[in-house]
Amino acid sequence: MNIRRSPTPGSTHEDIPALIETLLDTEQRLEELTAGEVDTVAGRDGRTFLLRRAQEQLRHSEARKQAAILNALPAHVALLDAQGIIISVNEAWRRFADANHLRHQACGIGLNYLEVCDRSRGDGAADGQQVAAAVRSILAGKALRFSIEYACHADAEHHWFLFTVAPLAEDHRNGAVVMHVDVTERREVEESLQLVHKQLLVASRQAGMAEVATGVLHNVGNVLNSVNVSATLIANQVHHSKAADLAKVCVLLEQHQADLGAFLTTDPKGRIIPTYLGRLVNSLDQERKVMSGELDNLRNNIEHIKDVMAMQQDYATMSASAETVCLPDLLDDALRMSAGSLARHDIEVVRDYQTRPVLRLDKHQVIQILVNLIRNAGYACDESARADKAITLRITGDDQRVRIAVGDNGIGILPQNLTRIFEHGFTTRKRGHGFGLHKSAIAAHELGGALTVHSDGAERGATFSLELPRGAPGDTDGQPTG
Amino acid sequence: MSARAKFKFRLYIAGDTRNSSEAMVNLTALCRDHLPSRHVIEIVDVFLEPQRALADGIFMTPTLVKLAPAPQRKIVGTLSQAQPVLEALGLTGVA
Repeated sequence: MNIRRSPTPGSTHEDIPALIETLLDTEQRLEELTAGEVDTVAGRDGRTFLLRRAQEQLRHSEARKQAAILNALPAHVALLDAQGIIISVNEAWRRFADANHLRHQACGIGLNYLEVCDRSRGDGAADGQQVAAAVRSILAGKALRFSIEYACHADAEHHWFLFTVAPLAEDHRNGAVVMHVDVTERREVEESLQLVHKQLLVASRQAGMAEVATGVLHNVGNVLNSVNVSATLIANQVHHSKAADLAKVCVLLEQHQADLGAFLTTDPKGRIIPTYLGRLVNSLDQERKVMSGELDNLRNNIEHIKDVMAMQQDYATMSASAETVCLPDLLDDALRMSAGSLARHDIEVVRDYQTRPVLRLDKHQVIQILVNLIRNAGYACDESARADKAITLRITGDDQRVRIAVGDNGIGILPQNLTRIFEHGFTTRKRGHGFGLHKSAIAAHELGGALTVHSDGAERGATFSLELPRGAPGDTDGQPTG
Repeated sequence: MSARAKFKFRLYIAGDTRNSSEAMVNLTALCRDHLPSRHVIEIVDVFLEPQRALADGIFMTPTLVKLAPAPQRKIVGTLSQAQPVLEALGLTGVA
């Protein structure tokens, strides 16, 4: 029967030293009996006792293992006690401290990490405050983990670190582990990626501006041809006008002012004047009609130039913000921008708008995609030998998505090129630069949609489909057109 | 006793303690030198299987038990002195 006795103050002072003495004697005796070659002994009940020497060996062995693991880490690791004092650091921490001449107090051991953070000044002050607050929160058991990336510019070198703090044990507050991982390389890669992205955006914008400028020159050039024709016709008309003949009649009438009645009735020249005047009136009327028609043409053409300029300017200066757009109107605008070249190459345009969706979207991006697709379709037709060249623009859709298909019956796309057609730099045209479709596919993605292609092969035409999502507030649907 | 009989050993150890580790190293060397390809060693960690040590009557670690061939033998310690160990295991003149 076990009787548990609580120690009394009187007996404690005498009993404990005596018991320790017995314990040490027992251990000593056991060591002697086993010649120091035994680590554990077991009682008759099977309870294993680790001898003191073995206990120490085991503790050292465990500590060495833990240290080896910590030292193998590239991160700078330090252990803090419950007050935030650095009690242990790993090799990486030591190396960093040495490299940065932070030899103070054995690489920081013994320093209060919280006070160090609180004291941080300059660029790192805000980060220091944040880190100190997080470490305090972890030490108080109010949080389980905290991470922050911060810049550290030591020795004129720019470094980025990921700082992490976690409690030593989650169930009781006995300190924390702080860790700094050098993430400079990753940040540099990220920054260079961002730079490349920006450069690409600029290049894309410049390419877009060049495209707009080309469009303006092309369309305005076509109209200027017509303007020139009208102006020449008017000039010729004026040059050969019958109005000069009227002057001759006036001279004759003036010469015979005294005997105008006799002259008009008896003189052979005078007699034909009324008839001549009648004919002259007809001729002048004819001239007026021709010139009036040409002036109308001239006015229309100049209006058209203004439209072209306004339209291109509209798209060129538009910011990347969503606005409500009627897709068929947008498609017609895109078509007008290429209308001149399509007409010149005898390419018929078929419009099949089965729905008239009104969406909220970035008009600029969509128009650029559509202009690109229509121009590509035009090139594909132009390079084809067939006589009945045609482009079909189709708008279909359901509750979820709207699809704009730009199809042509041109040279088609080889199956092996179908998968590469959206790659940057890929082109099959001699004068192509492999940028348009790539940029269009990215733009489609940015719009939450997709750009896909279908072709049955060489000389079988191709269809590019731009799918756009519905669902933004303001999206509606009109009635199908015939 | 057949010179080609297979030796079966069981070594009771206590985790990573120094004497236990030494015993493991010495036993492995002994088997490699004297019993190549005819030995089996089973390791029992008393920290992990204390009841098994109790059932087998093992009260100290490291302890080596030769299970086969008969007779069974127990040797306590690091097995660092080869000659007495070989004698105790009946291996003198075998290899």
